Amino acid sequence: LTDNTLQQLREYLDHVSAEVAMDLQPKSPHAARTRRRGVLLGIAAAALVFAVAIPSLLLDSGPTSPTGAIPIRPLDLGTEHIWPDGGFTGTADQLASDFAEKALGWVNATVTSDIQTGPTWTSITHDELGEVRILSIPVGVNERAVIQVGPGVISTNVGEDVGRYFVTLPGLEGAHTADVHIRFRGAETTVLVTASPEDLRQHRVSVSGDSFPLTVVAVYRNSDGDAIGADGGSFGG
Amino acid sequence: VVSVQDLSQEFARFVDKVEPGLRRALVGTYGPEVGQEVTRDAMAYAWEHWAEVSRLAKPMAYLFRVGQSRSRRYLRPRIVFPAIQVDEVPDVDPRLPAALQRLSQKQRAAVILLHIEGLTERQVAEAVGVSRATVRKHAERGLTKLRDALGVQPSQE
Repeated sequence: LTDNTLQQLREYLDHVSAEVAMDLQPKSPHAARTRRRGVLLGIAAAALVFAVAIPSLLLDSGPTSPTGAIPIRPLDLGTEHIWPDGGFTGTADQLASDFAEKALGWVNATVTSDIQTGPTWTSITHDELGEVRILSIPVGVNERAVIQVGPGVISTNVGEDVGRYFVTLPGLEGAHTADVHIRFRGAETTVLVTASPEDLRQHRVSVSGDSFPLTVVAVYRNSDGDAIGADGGSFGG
Repeated sequence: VVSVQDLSQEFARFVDKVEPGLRRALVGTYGPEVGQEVTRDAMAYAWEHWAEVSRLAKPMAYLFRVGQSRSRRYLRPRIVFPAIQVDEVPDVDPRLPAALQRLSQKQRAAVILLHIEGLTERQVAEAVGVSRATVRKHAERGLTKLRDALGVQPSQE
């Protein structure tokens, strides 16, 4: 720029826009304060993935306990991203380890992230039980959140049929039951239902709620009750 | 076949390249608060429509229009551009934020997209949704207002 006024304008805009920098690597505390819509990136990411292919399974059920000994509690699902509600302070690997522990009950899982900045796919591997991949994004200064769980091609989906909501699940070889964590639009907490073997065969479970399911995570369990896989996503804000 | 991992890395590179300028243009047009929100929305849109956006020769103009469209969600009664801390930007006239605030939204967009971001009149016209002649008029008037506010004559530059 050769124009002095424009040079000043450029410098001023650089300064102001840096203050609100959010993108995929937040640069300032101010960015964290006002980053709420950044998670839309996550929702959009999930939407992209879901647009690739729609699963074929759905479930129904009532909240019955899986056969395993691991106590199951509803995950703290978010509304603008999948998990956790409010973001996680730490790296992508740390987030994945926490997810592995709380969602899957995998305490010593191996986590490997493709990259450490921006949208990051992290592989969570349990030597005996399987692998789960999660996609996380930065949502604030040193905070991340999961926006996609699963392989990213075939995943859970939600829908409405004759006034009743349902969740479809892609299923997983060896799965006997599935914990289906659901946060409905406008709800303050997560609901947990269990997809029975029959539900998994039908690939569909009906769920009770006053509003559309917003975020869903399905954790598949084998006949011993061990988690062997998971998938999930966000379905609009 | 492009894997999801490749896709996310490709998109991360795209963000590094495009997002700073887009954010600068949207913040300069709509102010820091709304500018930040609509930048996020525009980048989310880019991810969601990556197959189309990745093929655009000048994605910034397109995404600016997306941001412009989304800005209606975040209407503010008054846009406020923050005052300058002299030690942070010593070469900028402290009167600039107020002068920028007094420009119309379209004037700010035209000046910034045309003169700061280097888009052509046609690209700005498509981004803002007005004719090329209107872009030229907004840019000229906007720049004149800024110069007047700063006490700068074109000949001095």
